[in-house]
Amino acid sequence: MDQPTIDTISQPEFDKAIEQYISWASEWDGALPADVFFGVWADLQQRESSVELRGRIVEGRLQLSPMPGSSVRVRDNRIYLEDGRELVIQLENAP
Amino acid sequence: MLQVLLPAEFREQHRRIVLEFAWRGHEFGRNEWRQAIVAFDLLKNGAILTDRGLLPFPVIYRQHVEGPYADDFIELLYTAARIDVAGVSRWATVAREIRPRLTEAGLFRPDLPSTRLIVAYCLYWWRSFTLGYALEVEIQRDLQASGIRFQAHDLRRREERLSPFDLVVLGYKGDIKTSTYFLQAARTRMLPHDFYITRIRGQQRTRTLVVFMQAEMWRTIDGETVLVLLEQVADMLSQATRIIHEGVELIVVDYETWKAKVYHRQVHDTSDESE
Repeated sequence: MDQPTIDTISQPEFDKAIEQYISWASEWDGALPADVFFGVWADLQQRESSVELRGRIVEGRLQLSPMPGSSVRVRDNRIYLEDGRELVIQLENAP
Repeated sequence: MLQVLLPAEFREQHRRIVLEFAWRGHEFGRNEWRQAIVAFDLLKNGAILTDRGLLPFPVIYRQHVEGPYADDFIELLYTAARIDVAGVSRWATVAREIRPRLTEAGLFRPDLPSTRLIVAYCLYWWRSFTLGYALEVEIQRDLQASGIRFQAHDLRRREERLSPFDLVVLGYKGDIKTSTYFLQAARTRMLPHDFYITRIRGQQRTRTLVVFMQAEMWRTIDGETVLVLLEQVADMLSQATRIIHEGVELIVVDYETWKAKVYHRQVHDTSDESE
């Protein structure tokens, strides 16, 4: 079963979620644990930085390969994104 | 007509994390916070299309939350003996008024579940707003009590509140931000100010204030640092460290150390002037 989202739960569940939020947020001072804070910062920084790939044309087809140490997954002309999407790059002949 | 428009990047996992945040955001770990910060940031580009035109989420928030409630809240912070207690009580009262207010304005409709996103957006940013200004007033009071010379805005005046920086110390411009506000800023842009004060939780779950500053300010008040990766800073808060953000070096030091060094520098400067 799909996990519930803010717009798939019932209205009473939404009401409860809002009350729950007001309840915990009233006790919360907004200070993240140090390891979470610096970890998220590092993740966001990495997310914003550019990712380099190498590309070669082999027998008319694009073959991508990641740079050493990169965590990006690629195969032939496909790039697999972290959120599950794929980028497929199609080559065209120059006019 | 009522239609909620969301940026294409706002996907299923963001809708999920917004709900999870309402349930148990205070228990979130690193991965969940990363998703939540991105989700609420993306919602800034959301809008509601009505018969009266297009209303971006930030405009709705300003019209229905910040506009009517911000001035009273900040006045309360300035006059309260216990900032945290007074702030929380007022925050919760307003938080409970948000949904009825949006309903009355025709912007939240129970039969249109996507309009829950504007309720979640307003609640999230109202908490960020109140925590942010409570921290700012607390720091202003503490600097004053510590004998630090500084210039700060009068937050009761809206035009001063919207200034891009919060205070000036030793001629350097600084900003005071809660942890999540700071990360939101760090995600979307360079950190342009000379220093930032934020609050995080240390190893024994105690609250700790830390200061991030540009190398130039640190050189003015001190010297040596150790270069570390962002993930390592949490274990090294007792000493001054250097990190790299967007290619720029930042010094990380705990607030009490920073304050002591600023005070020392100001006393030193005063005695130089009087000689």
